Amino acid sequence: MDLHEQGMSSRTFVIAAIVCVLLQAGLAPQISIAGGRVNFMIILVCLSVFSGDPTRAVVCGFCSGLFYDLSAAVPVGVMSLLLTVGSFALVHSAAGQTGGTPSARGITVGAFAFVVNVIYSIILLFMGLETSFVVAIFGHALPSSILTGLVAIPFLMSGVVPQSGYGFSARGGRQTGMRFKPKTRKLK
Amino acid sequence: MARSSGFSTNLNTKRQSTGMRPLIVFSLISVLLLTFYIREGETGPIHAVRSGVTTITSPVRFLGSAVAAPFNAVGNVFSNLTASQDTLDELKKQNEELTSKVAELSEAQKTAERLEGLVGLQSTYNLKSTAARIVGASGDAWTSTVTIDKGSADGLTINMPVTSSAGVIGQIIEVSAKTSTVRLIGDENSGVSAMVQDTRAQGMLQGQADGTLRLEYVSVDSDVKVGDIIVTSGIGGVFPKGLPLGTVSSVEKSANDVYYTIVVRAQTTAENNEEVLVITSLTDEQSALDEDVNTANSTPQGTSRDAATKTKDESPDDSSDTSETTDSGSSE
Repeated sequence: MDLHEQGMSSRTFVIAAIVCVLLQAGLAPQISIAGGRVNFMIILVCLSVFSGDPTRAVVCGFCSGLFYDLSAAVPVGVMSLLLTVGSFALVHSAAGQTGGTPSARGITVGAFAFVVNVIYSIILLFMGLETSFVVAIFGHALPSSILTGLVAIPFLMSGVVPQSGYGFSARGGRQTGMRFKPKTRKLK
Repeated sequence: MARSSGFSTNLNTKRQSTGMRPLIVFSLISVLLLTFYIREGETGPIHAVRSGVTTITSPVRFLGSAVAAPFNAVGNVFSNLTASQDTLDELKKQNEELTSKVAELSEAQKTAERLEGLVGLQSTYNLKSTAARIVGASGDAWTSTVTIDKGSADGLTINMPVTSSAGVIGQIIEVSAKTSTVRLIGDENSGVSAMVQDTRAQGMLQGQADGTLRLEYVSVDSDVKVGDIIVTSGIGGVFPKGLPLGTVSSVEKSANDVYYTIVVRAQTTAENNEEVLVITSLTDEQSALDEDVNTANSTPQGTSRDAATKTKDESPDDSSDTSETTDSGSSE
C-alpha cells in the first residue's frame, strides 16, 4: 500500500514536471507583467522539495536550472548552479519541511524565488550583463518572484505534493520523525 | 551477530543520504558549464546544445504564441464578459462574436499594413532580406529578446540585423534550425552605430537597464535637438546605413561634460506575432564606405544644421530625407 502510494506520487510528479517544462517553453515567454516573468522551473524545484527525497530535489534543481539556461538567452550554468544549491538548502530548511496550506507554501515559493532571483541578478551584474542593481532587483527579480509565487499556488493545490507535513523534528532531517519510512528493509 | 552489525551500518548510511553528493557533483558541473560557455564565444558545443533544445521546444513556443495571440487582439472582450445579464445572453453572445471578429479583422488589417510597410522598406532600401514572424519574447526577465520563426535552415546566421516596417528592432544572437533569438536594441547589451540624420553627428545607440535608449558619445560640439531622427550610420558593418532607429526625446548637457546625454524614443516596438525582416546581406551601397568612416572620424560632431539644410536643398533628389543613404538605396 505504501509502495503503491509512493508510485502514484512519482507519477504525479513526473506529470507536473512535464507540465512545468512545457509551460516554461511555451507560456513563460508570452507573459510579462511589470518587468517580471514566471519561472516555472523554480515552481518545479519547490514541488520536488515539498514532495520528498533530498536527492531527487537536488537532481531536479540541476535539471530544471539547466533547462532554464538552455531555453533562454542567458549564461548557461548560472541558474542550474543556483537551483542545485537552492534546492539543497530549501529541502534542509524548516520552510521546506513543514506542512501548510497551499497559500503558505506559495509564499515559501515566492520567497525562494526572490532569493534565487536576487542572487541571479547579482551574478549578472558581476558578469556585466546587467548594469543597474535597482532595476535588476526591483524591476525584474521582485515582480518575477511575486508572479512565480502566485502561479505556484494552483500547482500546490493540485495534489502534486502532500498537503500535510512530515511533522516536527528537532534534528531537522527529512528521514527523522517520519511515521512511515519511504523505504523498508526486510530482515533476513 | 555479524549480520546484525551489518544491518545497523547500512541503515545509518541510508539515513545520511541528504543529497550532499549530487549537490557537489551538479554544482561542479554547473560551474564547468558556465566556464565553458564563457570561453567558447558565440559558437561551440554548449551553444550547439542550446540550439538543439531551442529546436526541440520550438513547436511548444509556436503553440504558446498561437494560444497567446487571441489575447493580444481581443483583450477587451474579457472585461465585457464580467458583466452578466441573463436576459440578454443571446445578444451578448452575438456582441462578443462581433467584437472578436472586429478585433480579428483589425488585427488582419494591421498585419496587412505592416506587411505593406515591410515591402516598402525592402523596396526603398533595396534590402536583401527574409521575412519572419515574432513568436515569443524572452523566457527570462533580465534580457530583452524575441524569438522569430526562422533559423539556420532559412539561411539566418548570428549578427544579422532585424527590422520591422518602422525601423530597426535588433540583431540575431542565437540561431537554431527553425528559430532565432533577436536581441532588441533596448537590451542593455545592445549597441548600434548611429547618427543624427540632419547633422550626421556620430554616436552609439545603447539600451539601458530601464528599457530606454541613449545615444552615447555625441560630442557637445554637435548640433542635436529634441525631435531629431536617429538613423544607423552603417559604420559597424552590421546594419545598413540610414535605417531609422528612433527620435530624440531629450538632450541634456551638464557643465564640463564632453558628451551629451541624449535619450531616444525607439521608432518601433517588437510585438508578438509581428512580421519582421531579417537582413541577410548588405550591398556595397548599404555598407559604410571608407570615405564615410574617415568623415566620421574627422568630424564626429557632424555638420551644422544650416549647412546640412543647404546641402539638402542643393541635392537634386530633395524627396530623400536620409541624404545619400536613401538615394543609394533608391537607385538600385
